[in-house]
Amino acid sequence: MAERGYLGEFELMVLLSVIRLADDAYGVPLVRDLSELRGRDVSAGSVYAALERLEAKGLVTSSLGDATPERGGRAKRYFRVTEDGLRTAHDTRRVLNQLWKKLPSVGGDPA
Amino acid sequence: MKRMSHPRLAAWLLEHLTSASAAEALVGDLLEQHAGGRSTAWFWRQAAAAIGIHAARTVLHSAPAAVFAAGWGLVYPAWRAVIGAWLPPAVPERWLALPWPRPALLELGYGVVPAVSFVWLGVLLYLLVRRDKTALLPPSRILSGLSAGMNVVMLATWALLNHLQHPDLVCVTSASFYLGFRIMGVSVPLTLGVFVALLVTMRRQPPVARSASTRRVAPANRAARFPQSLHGKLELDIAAPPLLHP
Repeated sequence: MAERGYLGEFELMVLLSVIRLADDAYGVPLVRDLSELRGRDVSAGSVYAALERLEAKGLVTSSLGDATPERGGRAKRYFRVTEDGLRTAHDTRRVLNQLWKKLPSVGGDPA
Repeated sequence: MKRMSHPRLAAWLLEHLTSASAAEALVGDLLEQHAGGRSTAWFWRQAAAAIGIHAARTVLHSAPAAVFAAGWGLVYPAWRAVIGAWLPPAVPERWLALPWPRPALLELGYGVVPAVSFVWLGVLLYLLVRRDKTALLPPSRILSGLSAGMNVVMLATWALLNHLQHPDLVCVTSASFYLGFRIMGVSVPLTLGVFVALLVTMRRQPPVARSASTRRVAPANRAARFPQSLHGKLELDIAAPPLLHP
């Protein structure tokens, strides 16, 4: 059963990265993408933990892909955003856009 | 130059100490990156982080059950008062005169049934209170939880009796362990029993990924899949998620 709730910052990043990578969204590219965007290393364990939460909320689904020799015969696990996931991303974006509008600049002047 | 083989111990630990659904893919990802040039130290760091994250999530996930089990263990005196009213103060002599193994079984049942029923009642009460999360649990999982709870009560009781050097280690009667002495001490095996039963019953079962045969899509059909069809848009505008289907 899907659990609903608010998205955390990291969950949102992972969800957006899954959307961004589309058909290539499995662990390695996701970790690489998030590391590049954040400018520092992201642990694969934290990405999988976020993906499991997103999957429990029904925002992404996963499916098994190919097993290759360099992976020790282990299958890739691909993730795809669901309709709910896409809707949540849009909702979050709309709310955040509203909030950003009131952000003052560092000097104290309105942005 | 020949690359060092991957750290098998780290992979083994990952596969056994993280969630089963993620472990295979996670280990595969780390092996793929290790084969691509990442160091063995990096592999170990990733494995340690993943195990730590999983352990922290498990603790958080089981915290409500732990709190409930501790509270339920303290209710035992009330349960003892209820059950005690139905039982004579000791195993009747005529029971002990029955041929073996009936006296032993009677003594065992006499001493253990009140405790095990208390643990099972606690587990069922918890499942009832949290039915929003437990309504879809299969009966087999609940039965395995109750069974685990009973086993833990027996083992923890035996360990506690040994620790306390109690004479009723051999013969448990209503006048002794569960119905008589050291209620706070008795609550330890009962609390452990409830907690383990709840952990077994409510252990996480993440959704199972579909097999490769359902995942692989012919290149010609890929355009029909909506994330793929919107990929071009995402390349241009990363900040905006793709539009919803009409």
